[in-house]
Amino acid sequence: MRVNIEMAAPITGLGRDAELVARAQRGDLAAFEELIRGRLDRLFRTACGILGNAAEAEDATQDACITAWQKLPTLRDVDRLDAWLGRVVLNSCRMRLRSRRRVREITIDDGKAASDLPDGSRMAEHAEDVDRVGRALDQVSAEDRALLLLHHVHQERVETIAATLGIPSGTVKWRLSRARQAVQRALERDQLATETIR
Amino acid sequence: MNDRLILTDELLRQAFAKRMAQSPSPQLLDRIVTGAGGTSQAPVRWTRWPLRRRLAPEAAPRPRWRSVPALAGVAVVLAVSLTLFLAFRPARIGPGGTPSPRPTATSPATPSEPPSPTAVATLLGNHAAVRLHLGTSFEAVDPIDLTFADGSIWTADIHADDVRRFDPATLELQAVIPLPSPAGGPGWFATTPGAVWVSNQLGNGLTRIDPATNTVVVTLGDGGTCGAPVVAFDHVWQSMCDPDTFLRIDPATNALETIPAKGHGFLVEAGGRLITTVQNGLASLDPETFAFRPLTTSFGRLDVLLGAGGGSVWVSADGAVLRIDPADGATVATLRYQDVRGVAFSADHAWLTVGTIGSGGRGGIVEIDLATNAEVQVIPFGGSPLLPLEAAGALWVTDFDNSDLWRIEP
Repeated sequence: MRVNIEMAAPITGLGRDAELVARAQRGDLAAFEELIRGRLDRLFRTACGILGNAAEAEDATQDACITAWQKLPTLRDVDRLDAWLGRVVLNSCRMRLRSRRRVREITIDDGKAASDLPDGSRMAEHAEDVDRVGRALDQVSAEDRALLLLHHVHQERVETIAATLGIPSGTVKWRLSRARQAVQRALERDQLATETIR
Repeated sequence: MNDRLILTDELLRQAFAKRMAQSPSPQLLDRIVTGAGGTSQAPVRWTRWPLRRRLAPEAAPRPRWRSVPALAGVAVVLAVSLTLFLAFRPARIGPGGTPSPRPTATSPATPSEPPSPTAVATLLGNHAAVRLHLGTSFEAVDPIDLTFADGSIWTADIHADDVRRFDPATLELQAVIPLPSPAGGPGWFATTPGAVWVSNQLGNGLTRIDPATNTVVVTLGDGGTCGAPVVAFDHVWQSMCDPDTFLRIDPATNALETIPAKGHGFLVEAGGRLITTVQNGLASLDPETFAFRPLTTSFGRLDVLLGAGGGSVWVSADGAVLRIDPADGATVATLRYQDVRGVAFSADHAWLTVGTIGSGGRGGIVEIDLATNAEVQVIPFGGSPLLPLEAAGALWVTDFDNSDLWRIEP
């Protein structure tokens, strides 16, 4: 079987999850709480990785979990619970980013561009590189960040990511490659901007 | 000038680690449980939720697709589109047939409301188009492939675990066909007389559906599939990546044969040959002896086997779309498009769905003349086009990322 997604370590195994899902699908909130408890940290950190902001990540995780509760009766295969939850979190992050973009349209040209850039002279070179990659991650799409996060941080196999995102494995490989290129290009743009300011 | 910073896996991990070096507040779980307790859960099943309005008059089939530069033609298209837009501006047709507000970014749809298709009339370049939203933002109704069979447009919705069919003229949802285990996660279609076949990307094998009854007839094969099923040499063929096999099914009897794939992957039929992918290249598969013969190709890196049409195999490789001669692997044409997701064919042209065209970052659908390989037109597409299909007098496109099905008028 291709799908056995592990977005988070199951609390006490799949059998227990199946029971909890069945109870939660019948409206048992305590069962849902138990189901989410062991997964919350990872869901939150996934949202952090995509959004880059803890407060927004909390809101996105909260929205996602409430949505998961509402939609849980439509989940037919417990094996896919974690992939499904991962997908709901990604969607929630996308929604946050959409509203964030709208806010940015209003507050554009806020004069922070130069002064907010990290002062490279105060940082160790490596730490600066990490920061630059962090900024580059902000420049690529949420989908690209999600892919890179799932693959490079959660160390998930291409097939697992394909199942989570519902796309063919070949497409995942291709999108991973494209996402890395996008980050690299963002790094180069960042470097150009830094040199121009200097 | 600083040295160019090369992105490494370690740098990526550390950058993400810095972003993620936080824990949720202790109150988060309580907030979730409180929030969940204040809402109700979705109904378990829904099967049919038709659009209450007809979206467009029955259009006569228009087999030829050509751009219409005449101002009069453009004006007519604009007028029709504006009319459609104004007619359907409320966008969301609620269950009672009355408009209901579109969900906002922070307020998901009312959970007790069944997902209803949402249709929006709009313009794509000079073309009138209708976007049919297949669920709410949180509803996992994500279409991958689509096909035309038995007078309907069919979508395979990988996360909804079902196949849906729509009236091509009205976009009315005609049926939702659940795919029970061992099927699931449907991805790609093929059709034979009296049967619609759909591959199970997250479940097992290939499922046969009877379009006369909208029911599953049988699911054949064990293991995850990769790519689309292929109808060739009187059989239905399906690549199975996980068990490293191909399925060969006789559609007359459903008799199943399992063939060792020996590391080969996706499968297409081109120029009377079965062509499959192998480590960074292509090979042909003899349909009788099941022997593989590598093709001598000239590309460096194979990204995606897109499909086959116009007598050639279409691949995305080396940052372009290449047309490959299935007989000898020679590149017969190079089309300079990157980020190509899918291809569909008609008698004399092909449609490419392209994620990003030029430097603008927007997607588009490109028509290519099969005889000359010239670009005929580009239809701008603001979403994320996945797979195209020309059928029933229109161009259809799935948008997986946005859970949409598009109908684009000629």
